[in-house]
Amino acid sequence: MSHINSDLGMDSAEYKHALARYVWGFALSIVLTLLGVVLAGGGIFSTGLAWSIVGILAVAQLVIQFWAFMHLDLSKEARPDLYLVLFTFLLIILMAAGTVWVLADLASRMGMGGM
Amino acid sequence: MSATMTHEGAVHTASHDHGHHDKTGTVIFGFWIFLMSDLIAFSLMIANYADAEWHGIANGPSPHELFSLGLPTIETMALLISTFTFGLCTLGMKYGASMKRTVFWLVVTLALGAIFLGIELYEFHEFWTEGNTPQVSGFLTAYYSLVGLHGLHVTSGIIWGILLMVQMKTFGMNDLMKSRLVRLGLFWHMLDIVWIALFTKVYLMGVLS
Amino acid sequence: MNILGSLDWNDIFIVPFLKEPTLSTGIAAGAGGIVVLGALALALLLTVKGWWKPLWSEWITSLDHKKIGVMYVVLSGIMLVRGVLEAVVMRAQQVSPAPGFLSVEHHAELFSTHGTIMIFFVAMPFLTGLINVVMPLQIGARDMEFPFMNAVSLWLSVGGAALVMASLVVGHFETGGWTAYPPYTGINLSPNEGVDYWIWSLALTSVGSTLSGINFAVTIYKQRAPGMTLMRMPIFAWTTLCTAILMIFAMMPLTVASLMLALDRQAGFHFFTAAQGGNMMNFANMFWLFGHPEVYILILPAFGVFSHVIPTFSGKKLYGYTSLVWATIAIAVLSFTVWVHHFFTMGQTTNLNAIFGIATMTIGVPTGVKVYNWLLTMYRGKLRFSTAMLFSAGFMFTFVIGGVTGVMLANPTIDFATHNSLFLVAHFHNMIIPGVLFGMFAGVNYWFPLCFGFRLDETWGRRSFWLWMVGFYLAFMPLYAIGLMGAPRRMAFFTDPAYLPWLVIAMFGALMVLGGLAAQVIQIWVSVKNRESLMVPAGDPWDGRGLEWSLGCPVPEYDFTTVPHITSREPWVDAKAQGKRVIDPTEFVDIHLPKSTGLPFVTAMIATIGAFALIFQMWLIAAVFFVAMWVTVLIRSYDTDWEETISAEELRKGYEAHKHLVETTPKATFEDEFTSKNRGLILEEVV
Repeated sequence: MSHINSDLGMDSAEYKHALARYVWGFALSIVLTLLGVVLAGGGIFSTGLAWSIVGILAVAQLVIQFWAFMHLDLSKEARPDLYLVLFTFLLIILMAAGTVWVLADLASRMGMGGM
Repeated sequence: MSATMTHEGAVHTASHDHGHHDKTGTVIFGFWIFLMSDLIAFSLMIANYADAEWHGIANGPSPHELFSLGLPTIETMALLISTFTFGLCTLGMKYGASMKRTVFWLVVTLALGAIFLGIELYEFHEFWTEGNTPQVSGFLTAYYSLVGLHGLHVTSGIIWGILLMVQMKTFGMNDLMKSRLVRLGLFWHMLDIVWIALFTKVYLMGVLS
Repeated sequence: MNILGSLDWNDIFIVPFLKEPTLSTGIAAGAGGIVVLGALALALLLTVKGWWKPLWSEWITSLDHKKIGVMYVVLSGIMLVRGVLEAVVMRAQQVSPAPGFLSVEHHAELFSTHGTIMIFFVAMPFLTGLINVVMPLQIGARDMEFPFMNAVSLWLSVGGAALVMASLVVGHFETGGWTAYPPYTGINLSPNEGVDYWIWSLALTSVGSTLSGINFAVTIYKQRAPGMTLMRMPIFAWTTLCTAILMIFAMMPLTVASLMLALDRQAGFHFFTAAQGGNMMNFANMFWLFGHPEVYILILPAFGVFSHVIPTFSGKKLYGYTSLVWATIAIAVLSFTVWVHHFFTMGQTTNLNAIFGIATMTIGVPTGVKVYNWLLTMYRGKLRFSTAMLFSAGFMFTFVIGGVTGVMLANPTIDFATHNSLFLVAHFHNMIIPGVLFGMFAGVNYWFPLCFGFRLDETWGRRSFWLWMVGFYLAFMPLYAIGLMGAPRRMAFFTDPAYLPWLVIAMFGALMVLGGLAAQVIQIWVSVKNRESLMVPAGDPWDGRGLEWSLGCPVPEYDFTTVPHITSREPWVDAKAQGKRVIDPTEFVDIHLPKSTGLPFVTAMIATIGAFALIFQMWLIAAVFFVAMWVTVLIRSYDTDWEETISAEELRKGYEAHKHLVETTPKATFEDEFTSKNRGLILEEVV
């Protein structure tokens, strides 16, 4: 199947199925975003706990949007893209988390707080 | 394999030419790789921001003092809706929607993008006039450049979308236009995904700090 | 606002010399003069010979991967001459009585341009060029997946190199080394345009490299001949794939860090400033997030070259294909986990340094695996020491020494003692000269016939090898010694007389390397002159093993008349074992090749002028050229007539002509491999 053309029309079940994925993704994203805003602004939990939950919600939304809008899943067609994204996230963790780690470690040695 | 005909001025499509592989799919895959490379840039900017927010306040305001959640939430909703409307646009296109419908959703998307951008610029303007310019501290430098880099991406997405609509008018809805629209779509969805990270790190966690 | 920004008369190369004639300003003026005169002489030559038109229509506008590859290598060769000359001047400076004949700033500019040029404008274009020529031929592709983008990458690299050359004529280059650490490179301590030259020339070339990486990866992923599974791919294609992945992900940190530095300098931002909460340590961190994978971007393609040259000239299959592939993959992934070893002394805690020290030692393991692979390939082989093989053997011998000193430096405690010393300088030259240059030289000597149809002269090739090899040892072994004695790097002069004998030896080494480079220029000159007797029209002059040797020399524009179906790792060896000298064609079909276009050149040159404007703060001009650059992209997007067709009939004729050549070419034996009797397709002597 090509990325840009389908033999089926907009009244097909396949279209409705695909559309449902977008709608689900959209609805879940809205819920997760608003939940994050309420947690950050509402003062329901302690700061540390709220911080962690907000982070988890963001990761969840990230996964949902990759699935819903960028069509990443475990199907054979999506596999190259999926591997690519997973590899990228491995590197992002190495690079971004590594950066934060190194800089925090350095800061801790200069009396700037941190670790 | 059969000999293929030559065709003047035609473009490559998935269905054309047995000697060729699926060119559209390949171009889209190449674009994916580009997006991933771009994602590295954003992740480094976020890492830099995390450090600056922690150790780079200097004499400037802290994130907690600077940010409120009202406008950024509206902004986020605008972008979130736009990523959905772009989905409607490309999904319909694939299943043979009329050009009119495709263009309609594209216009809605770009308009929402413009709203997002407008709010962002308004916020920049507010901070700026309060004296909180990027030159004040490492934290503000990191803030403006991280959010600004995303804003520049949205801006180029809007310009790209407008140019693409002009081209769609010129060429009609051929496979080349469809391929470009799908790539712009991926770009746009990726920007929303990046924004989730920015919104969470900068605003939500900033207010919590 | 001045439209010409910060540019003024004092920036023109000759003016400082006229105002204050010293040897130092004289050398600077002379270097600028060479660039200007060289450009004029080239222009004159092109005009007299009437070569402007062919240069434009055959080369600059070409999207053919082989021609783009050749142009990359030419760029690299030109820059290599400058880099080596700078090295010789620096060596001469350090042996002359203190304070030497160069001003301290001038010396600092020299080591900064030397490093920048050697990494970004010699090593990178060299390997990119070689990949461009060879990789598609090895995997059965007719071109890169994105030929237009390929040309854009090339011309962006040329633009970056042109900016570095321009810094000899207009203004100064920076003085903070190739790594350009702030806060020294911040606006307060480096107020002139030097750092901006560094930033914008690198910005152009690193965008080019990122795009090349995408191109290579997608080409390998999508364009392999039918039946060529990943584990049937030639090793060079594997190392290309891993290098491409590193290019895609590792160029970005450099781009981000250098653009942040630009914002600090020109917009008063505080990313890396010493005040207002800037954190200059993040520059070092990000630079090496790029810099360490970069080392493997440089070295993996050379590993690929050796993995073809050594089996060919040993007459044996590569030993341990699978382990080599996995070693390559392991190196590519691990290369992202060791960057901190470049700044062990920045102040991190011991635990953090220890972790990165261990990771660094770990990466030595897969590299060691490879050396054993090559050694065991040679073991009991029938070795023929061609120039390419000599460079490969010289590499193995020398590279292991560099590897050992690398493992020493991986230990943070030792690194604390040797950091920033000439020991380190000796170490990385010991890795990069054999690991990159020897590999590329081997590759050029080996694959040259694919592009031009004739072999390179062996006599001068061997001379160049021995000069490079011995010159290398003389130039860098002394640096290990005085590095351990405590000599710091980047010094304009030394006052300790104990260093002098070693520095004199090192200077002779540098002169020998220069001699090696001269021998290579002569080699090319002699080969072109004697090309008739060096012709190998039937192709495959070395009894090669890869698919690229199944084509004639030079390879036709369309590469393959028909794309073969692959059933093994060495299809060409299999075909030859069955007595075939051409791979049987499948059905001939019309094929499409990219049409030539001058747009990539125009786009990149506009970007280059825009970058030049940014360097001298001509904001208005920069803005105009930025818009113009995107207009050229827009123009391209309206162009849908991308391809020209080569008919099935033409391909069939090409095939038959090649077959005829192969059948009528007299066979030679291995004894005649390097003589004019070798017209291609040599056979092992039947006793």
